[in-house]
Amino acid sequence: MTSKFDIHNQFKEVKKERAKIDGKGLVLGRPAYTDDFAPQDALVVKIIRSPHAFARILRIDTAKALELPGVICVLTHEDVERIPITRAGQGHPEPSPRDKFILDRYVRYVGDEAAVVAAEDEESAAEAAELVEIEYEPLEPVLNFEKAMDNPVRVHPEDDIKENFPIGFEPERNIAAAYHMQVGDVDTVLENSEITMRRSYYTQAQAHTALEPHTAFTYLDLHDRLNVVTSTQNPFHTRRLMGQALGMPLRRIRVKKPRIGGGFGGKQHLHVELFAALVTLKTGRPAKVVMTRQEVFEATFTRHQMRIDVRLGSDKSGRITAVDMHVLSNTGAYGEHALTVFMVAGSKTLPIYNKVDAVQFGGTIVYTNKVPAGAFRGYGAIQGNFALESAIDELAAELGMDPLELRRKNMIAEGETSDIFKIMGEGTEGVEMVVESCKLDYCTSRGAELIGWNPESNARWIDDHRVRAKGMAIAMQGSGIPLIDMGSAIMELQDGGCFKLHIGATDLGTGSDTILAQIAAEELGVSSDKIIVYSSDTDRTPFDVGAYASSTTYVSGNAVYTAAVNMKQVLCSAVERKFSQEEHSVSFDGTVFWGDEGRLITLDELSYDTLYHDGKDMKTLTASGSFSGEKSPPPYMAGFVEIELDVDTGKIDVINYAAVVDCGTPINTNLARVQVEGALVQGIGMTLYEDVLYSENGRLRTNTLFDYKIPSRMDVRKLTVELAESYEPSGPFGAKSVGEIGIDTPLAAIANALYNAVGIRLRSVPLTPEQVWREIRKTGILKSGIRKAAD
Amino acid sequence: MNNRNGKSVNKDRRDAAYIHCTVNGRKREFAVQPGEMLLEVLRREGYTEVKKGCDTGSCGVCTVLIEGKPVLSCSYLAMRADGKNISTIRGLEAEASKFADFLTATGADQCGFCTPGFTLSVIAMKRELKNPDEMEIKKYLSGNLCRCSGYEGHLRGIKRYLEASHDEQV
Amino acid sequence: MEIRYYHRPETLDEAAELTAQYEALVLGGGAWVRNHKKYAEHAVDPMHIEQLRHIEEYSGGVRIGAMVSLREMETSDILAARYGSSIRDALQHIVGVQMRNIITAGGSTSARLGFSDVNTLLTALEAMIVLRKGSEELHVPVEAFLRGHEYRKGVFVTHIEIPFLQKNGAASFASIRRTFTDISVLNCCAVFHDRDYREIAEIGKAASGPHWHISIGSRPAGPVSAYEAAELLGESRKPEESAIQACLEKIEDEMSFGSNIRGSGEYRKHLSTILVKRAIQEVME
Repeated sequence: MTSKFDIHNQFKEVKKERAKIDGKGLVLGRPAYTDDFAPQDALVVKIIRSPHAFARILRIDTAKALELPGVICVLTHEDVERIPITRAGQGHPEPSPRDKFILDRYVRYVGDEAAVVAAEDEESAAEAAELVEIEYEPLEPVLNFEKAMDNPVRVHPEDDIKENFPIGFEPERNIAAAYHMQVGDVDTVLENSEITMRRSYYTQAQAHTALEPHTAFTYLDLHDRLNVVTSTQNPFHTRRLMGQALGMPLRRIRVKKPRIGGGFGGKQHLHVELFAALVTLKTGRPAKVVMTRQEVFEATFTRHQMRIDVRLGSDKSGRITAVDMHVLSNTGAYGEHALTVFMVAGSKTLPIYNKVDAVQFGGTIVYTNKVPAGAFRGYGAIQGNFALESAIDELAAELGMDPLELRRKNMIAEGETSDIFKIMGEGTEGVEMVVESCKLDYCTSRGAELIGWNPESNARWIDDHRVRAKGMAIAMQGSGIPLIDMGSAIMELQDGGCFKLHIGATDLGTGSDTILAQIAAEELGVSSDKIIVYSSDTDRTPFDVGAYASSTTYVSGNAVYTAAVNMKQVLCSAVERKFSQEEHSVSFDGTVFWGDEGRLITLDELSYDTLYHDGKDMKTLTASGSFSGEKSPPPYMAGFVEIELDVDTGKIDVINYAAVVDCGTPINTNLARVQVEGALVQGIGMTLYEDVLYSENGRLRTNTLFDYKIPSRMDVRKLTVELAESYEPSGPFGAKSVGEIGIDTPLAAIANALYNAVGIRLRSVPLTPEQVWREIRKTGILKSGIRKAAD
Repeated sequence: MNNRNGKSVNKDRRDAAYIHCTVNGRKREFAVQPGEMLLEVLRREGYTEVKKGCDTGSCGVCTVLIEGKPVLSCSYLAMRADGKNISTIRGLEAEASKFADFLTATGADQCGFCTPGFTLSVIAMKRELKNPDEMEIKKYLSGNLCRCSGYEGHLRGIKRYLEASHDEQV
Repeated sequence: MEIRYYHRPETLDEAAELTAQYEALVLGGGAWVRNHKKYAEHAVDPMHIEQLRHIEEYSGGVRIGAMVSLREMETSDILAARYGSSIRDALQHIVGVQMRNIITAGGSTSARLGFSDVNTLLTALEAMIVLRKGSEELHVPVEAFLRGHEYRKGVFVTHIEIPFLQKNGAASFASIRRTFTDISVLNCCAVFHDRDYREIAEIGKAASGPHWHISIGSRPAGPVSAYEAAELLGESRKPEESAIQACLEKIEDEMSFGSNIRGSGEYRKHLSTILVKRAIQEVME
């Protein structure tokens, strides 16, 4: 086998800057997204949503709405077969409770679906929605997630909901799922540790805010099959879940994803598809649902709000002896991804500190009458990282040690493993794994260099009220879910010497179609513009679980790599037969096939011969590949931030965020970098701006882009992103994932910088100016003469 | 309804008024409701390149140029477009294509949903500001939100695009 | 928004008459009413009235037509020359250039939004709203205009007049926001007017000589002037430290602040002293 360094010096198509193949078309505004393709005559579907946090529907009167000209149908729970479903786009069987009905007698949060109207046009649909009379019996809601467990009020009083397999589901206690694991005896180790600490951290229910609202349209085709065009991250899961929910055989459903306007996990679930489908199945007519932004905020999913209690133990030299994380997670009204997100809070953080004597992780995921939570980029990891990486800095302060040094002393390194890998998977057990690529050592030292890390002076006053300070955190993620996620690819040689590449993988705008073409091209030795990519269509592309869990580059990429290896083999065999050459004697350089005696034929010529000229030997040359990971090699990163704190207002600005990322070989250096940059700013948004506020009766107040503020381009001064040289032997051309890792560190890094600035420790995000100001005032830190003149 | 002469016209609900405007160089007549916003009219008429991202005039994806100035079509009364020149991204294909080369070379085009509106703002900025510095660029474009890119790649692309355009002119 | 009768007059007289006759909604940019007004029986659209579209100097100050866009104000050389960076500082956060190309000066004042940056700015600049009530033309101090119920219906705003600051005058606008393009958690404007107060009969204020004017807005209610606090700053553009301190204490004691999702009243009260101090300091420079 060639040494890995030889391989990566020979790259022609990967590890290159390649423009996204759909980029120009998107800039030029060509039709691309679901709503751009919706049939002109599609019925407009509006969902009538609950104004109550918790209520029983006593009566629905549809008569007035149905009288309105242009109104075609009004559907209520009485029109829908009662099947408990989950809307979570996950493997099968889903590790989420089946606790939802398409339409139900109960509504469990403000925004929950109560009824559906369909009309000829937008205006009539909107008007009809107001004419449907629904009589509710409001019930007392459970709004505080810390008081949800064993609350006398049951969010799910119905008895026909269930779990697919044991996940700790106890709806009678408002528990959607629960979990516990331990290695060693944490309590004893902590007792015997020289230093111990216990802290609690809180994170909020961040909103994805993909700029394209959730959209789907459905129609019946010539074969009377239900066609679903939707902004989804996982067409195959969507088809399966729709089949379950509608009681339809999967063969009668086709799901197709056009371009989608951002996902970030928010389009990993069924929010619109079923309602369009109901109307199409009822009326036989095309139907579409385009969510308003308010609906996206109030009635899709959010990040899970969590409280994480951390206990740490160490000796005086800074060797960490034990880590304990106890998590309370708020899944809102329904339990999609409840268990899996929660588990990642441990499984993607605890292995970083793999040298402990004991480690423990556990807790519960509770129901409340709030907007349900689901998958969101970095899920679990970002919450866990905030808690653990803040706690590590708190420990460093206690030890009087440089927090960077404390991490370097305890963090995982190449060639090592962690018990966690085997014990904790996503909803199930994990898979044993030795880390074959880990450049955390480089990432931390290079990051320190980029930010100018100096443990003696990580704070600097620039005038009498502004102080600049640095902070850091490290993170790991995964690359797909081992033995659960699967992707596949089919290739075909076409005349003109180009290849079709059909993949089930789902490009969310990240550029996965492009990088998968690069992988195929690299292996075949052709330029990537010879690869014609078609993706995300359950009728026409092979299976793939979809885009989530940082799986596409590694899982789908390996599938494409395998397909390309096989394609090359098929091509060479065809040439061997055609020229009566010995088996395995022909080679292909990307343009020409060579035999023992020299040049045989070009790819271009072969492509015409096999389709037009070779008589009875003519055939379509195809190959396929599938991949399911036996492990999930983690990407790693170090995040270093410099903030500017205005001590008089409490406002924090990010001056520079330096991130050094080990994602293995970046298949596309530009796209990998932008993944990190985009994720950093989402993480910074969660840390500083994206406050989630509810009214007393459980209505989401931050339900528009006017009130829920994501960062604008003026809010981050500078990002400095570098990719470490790294090579993951199990990845396609050495690649690991890069989609999520970037979002994990900003919370702790910024909170740590705030501590380094003025010595205040905030354990709850977002770090709004008011929260910071209150803490500054409470601690009286400004009176102690901390304010210094500029250097 | 047409009220050039100052006559007020009784308008029954659902009775449309007519506006005449030029969209991407082509003269068009649209039936509109007086309280309606331009975005709804454009999308209804098939200009799907004009995107809708929020309900509150906050995101910038619906940006079009009116008489060369960038406006949020979601917050612009359709009646105000009467007699005006409107450009969507498809009306500026040549210039947009130039910028697209620089933007896609950074990878920051990402999901692309904000890009047509954003690109129109960039083109308007290039026409309006002379040699803008980084801060001026970011300020001018701060009304165009993007959730994918983290904005840094945009800036790299814009700087190269402006430099190249500058070199062309010299 | 649904409009039953839509009027598009060609002249100011006609516009004023229609507005008075029907108590019509006068359309400014239309951006805010889009979301916050579902129905208007009568709407007057002044888009064709040319004299509402200019920024020009008159003997005592600068006159801004009601249909001038915020972007035109922000980029106006006349306004920059007369009022320094305060205009730009106040306007640059408002959503984005695309929105500022739509929103108008007249619409901004008439909408009376609590968080308005424009109104806080105009209040401290002692601007006058020129309006028509039928055929009658009135000049109303912006503060009176914002508060007075008599200006809410049937009134057609034609111009905003901002007096010159004169000689040594200067203005500074300061605000705190969660993100750059968010509305203010709190905003304020401090202006040193090197001339007499105007007669402001409506609010019972009049004085002579150079003076300070401080307005605070987005409390979250709309801007109010801190007259008594400003008086403590005296008649000099460079007040003593003790005078500034007294002024800030007065503000903290006497101004009222409320809570909303962007901040508590307590935080706003604190911010008011910080922002006013910074604005005063900038004016002093």
